Amino acid sequence: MSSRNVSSTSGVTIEDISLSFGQTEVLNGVNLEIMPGELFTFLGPSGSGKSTLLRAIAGFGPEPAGRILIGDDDVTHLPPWQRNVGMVFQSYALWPHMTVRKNVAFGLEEQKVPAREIGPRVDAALKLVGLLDLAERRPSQLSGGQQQRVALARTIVVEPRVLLLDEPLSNLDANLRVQMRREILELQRKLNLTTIFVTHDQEEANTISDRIAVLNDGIIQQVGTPLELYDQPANRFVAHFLGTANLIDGTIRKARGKTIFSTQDRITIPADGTGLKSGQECTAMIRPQSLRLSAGKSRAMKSTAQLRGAVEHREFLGHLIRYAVRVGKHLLLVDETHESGEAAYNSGDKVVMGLHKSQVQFLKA
Amino acid sequence: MNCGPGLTGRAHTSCLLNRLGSTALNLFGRGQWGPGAVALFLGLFLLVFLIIPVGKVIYVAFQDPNTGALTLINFIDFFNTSLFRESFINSFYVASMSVVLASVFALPLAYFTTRFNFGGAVLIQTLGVIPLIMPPFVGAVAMLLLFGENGSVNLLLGEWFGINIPFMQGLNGVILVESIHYFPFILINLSAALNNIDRAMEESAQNLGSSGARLFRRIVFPLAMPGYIAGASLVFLKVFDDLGTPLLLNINTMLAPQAYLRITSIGISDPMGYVISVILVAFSLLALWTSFLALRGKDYATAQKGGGGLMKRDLRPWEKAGCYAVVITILLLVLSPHIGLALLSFGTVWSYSVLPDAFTLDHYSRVFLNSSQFITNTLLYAGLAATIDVVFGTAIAYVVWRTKLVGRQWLDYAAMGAVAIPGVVLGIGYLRTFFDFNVPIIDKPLASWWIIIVIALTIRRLPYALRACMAALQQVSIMLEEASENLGASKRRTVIRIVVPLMSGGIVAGFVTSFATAAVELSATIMLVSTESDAPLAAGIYEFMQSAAGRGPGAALGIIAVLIVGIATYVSHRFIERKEIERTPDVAVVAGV
Repeated sequence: MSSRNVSSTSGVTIEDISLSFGQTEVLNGVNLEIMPGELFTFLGPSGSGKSTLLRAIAGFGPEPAGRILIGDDDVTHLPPWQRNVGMVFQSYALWPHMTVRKNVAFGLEEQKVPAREIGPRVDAALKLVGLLDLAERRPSQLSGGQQQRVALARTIVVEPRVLLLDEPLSNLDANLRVQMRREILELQRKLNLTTIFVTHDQEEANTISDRIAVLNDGIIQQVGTPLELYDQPANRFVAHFLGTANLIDGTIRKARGKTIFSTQDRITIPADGTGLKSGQECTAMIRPQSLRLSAGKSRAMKSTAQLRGAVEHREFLGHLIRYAVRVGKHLLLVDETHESGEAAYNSGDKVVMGLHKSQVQFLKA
Repeated sequence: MNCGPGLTGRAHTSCLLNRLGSTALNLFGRGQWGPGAVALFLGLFLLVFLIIPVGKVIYVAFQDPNTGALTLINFIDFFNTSLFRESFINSFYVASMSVVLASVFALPLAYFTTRFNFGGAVLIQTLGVIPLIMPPFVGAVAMLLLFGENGSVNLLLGEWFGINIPFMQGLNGVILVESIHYFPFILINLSAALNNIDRAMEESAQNLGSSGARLFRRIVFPLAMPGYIAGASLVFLKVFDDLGTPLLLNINTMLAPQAYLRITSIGISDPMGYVISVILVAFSLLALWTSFLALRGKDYATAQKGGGGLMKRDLRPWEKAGCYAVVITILLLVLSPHIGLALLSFGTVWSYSVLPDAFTLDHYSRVFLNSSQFITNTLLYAGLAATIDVVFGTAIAYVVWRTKLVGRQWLDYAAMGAVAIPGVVLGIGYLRTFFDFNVPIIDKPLASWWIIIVIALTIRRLPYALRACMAALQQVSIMLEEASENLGASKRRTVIRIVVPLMSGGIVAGFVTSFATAAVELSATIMLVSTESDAPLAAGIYEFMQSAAGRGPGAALGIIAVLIVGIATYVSHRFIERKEIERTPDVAVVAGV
């Protein structure tokens, strides 16, 4: 492992990839540039095409239209066994008839690595994932987390140019998931290995990724860092998929010389400096924690907009209380941090919601 | 009343019959019949009719015939006799070669369906069932007429190419007939193993640089191996124990026929029959043990989460033609006993000719007019045996899975142990154990009363019924029972109203498997039939086939047996299908267990 250096890892370029299963179009004109050493995530709901895209990079599934480059090599037409991209499968796919050691040695044997090198390299890989003691066990004698580590060791031992992880944490329980994603990140940094991670879990994606591509219906919705995607979602899908969002449809108008966003049920939000033109239809996106509740005007000092409504119901979530507040035709979600002894609003209470205009994101319709 | 083995034969038998008759009603009935009493009764039944007779056989094999002392002299005699040495080698050879030939049939079929998008998959599935609805000995004579030295195929080969292939000569005939009949065991097990291989197993190997034949050798083949071994050892066991096929093909130099001939010609005191029995049991256990070892810790199906089977690819037109040619050839071969039997049953004279001289319905009318007792006997025996099997099977399954009785697992082990006991051995054991027990009223030995045939069939087929009932009970969530008890139903009412109805699919499957296989059982039956009026179909077919003149009626009986078994299988299949549709809304509940 120690021989790995920056130059041995490669970026991945995906050029206009489209792919269909029979009549069903799964990927539609995907373009991506993944940097060397980056931890990049494909995030999307099931059926979004994220796994299909990953498998296409590894060479599985029907051959796509377009080009896939690893480093400068066009691998589009290469069979899986000639690509040298390491893939960790969702089910781990450890061969039950082989010991842990034999599983890990498999790829080196296939590459015709001299026998005297295989032993030390397998040991090094197992040590890296902390499983050297269990080398002679069978996969069925290992826990889920241990199987996951063996799958990782088996893949990185061949020093692939790119590491592909297909929902690697989905078969683990919640605590282990958190631990394993840290370990994967640590390993990835240590090896400086370009890694593509597929998940449907936004928390997983946010905590681990350098950058994320959000996929839906076989189309890339947005690419960016986790913060960019959360704060500046490009569309309603991204806004909803990453966290909870209040989405309000309305129109940009001029009122008393100022640009404002307004709806038919008379919600108005300042829209100065957004570059939006009068008459343009758009959607205002407000995260629940950006709205501040108060009974009167007192707490709304810093806010630049105020919305009036009535509490319809509330959910106590421990660290916060989530209110659903009726404003005209809209039901807005508001998160208030909860502190001990603090009184909560009851349904029917009239409330004012303060909002700073910097916290509003306007999405083009 | 206590039904212990210490009672005299007379008291014992009447006590047993009493129980037999009322078991179905009382199994979960009235207060005094708790699960403990049921378990005790089942244990005693297995003790008296399985463990003691088999124990007796083993004991006698090690007993000096003159002094009664324990000795190995009988085994030494056995291996010093050239006839027995030859029989032993022949049995081993035939069983091994049958595994080889059965593999030749099964491997391409399993491979086609799991690796290619092959339209003939339905055909292959049918192939897997057809041979099983007819025991090998029934078609043996027909195979002689088709493939024998002067059979249809060799007559044609001689006419066209001037050659004669000894398909049926000597041991070859046994091997051909047995492998045609038993290859589905390998096909079914191997296909299941191949289908259970997670596609990711193959993909991860490709991802690590493996492909083609190397990938097959290192990943696919080892993963499918346990399934193949399991199927192959079953074939070995079945062939090694088979009595009817060699007898009908007139091959006496094999172990099972030798045991039968010694006991029936020399008498039940001759030790050689017992020695052979011990060897048969030992090899059965060895085969089962091999299968167990092959599967132990290698239940790869559950070790892999994904499933979905191997990657399949489309066939090029010429490949498709090749596949169909292979499949159709095997299909014809597999169907040849049925075809031959049908020809024989409708033919007048069939000798030194490709086809019978003329066709007639005489054989059937003769069978129905003079020999209908074979059919009614079979329906009675197999029906009774299968009924008792599912009642006992349900009871054992319930005791094992739903009670905490000490030693309940042993009930399961004992009942399943019958798998390892060849019919010949059970027959010899019954003759030896029950010949001295006179049944009251009719005043004759239990060993020659027709009820003993029913009991033998019950014991031999109990494992099938038990497996089906166990599987069915495991599908019933214990929560469904708890819900019933929570709403005020007692254990007994819960079993009757909830458990048994939910198990009905499995119970019917168990009944039919037991019935169908009991209807054509020969090896134990043939030893226990004392008069022709008590004989079932299998024994009747065997009797008829002994003479050239009896072949026609014998074949007609064979066709009737095939029809009975075929119809029973079809009806149960439809019934289970309907049950499954009815239960579809419950799938989530059931699967959640």
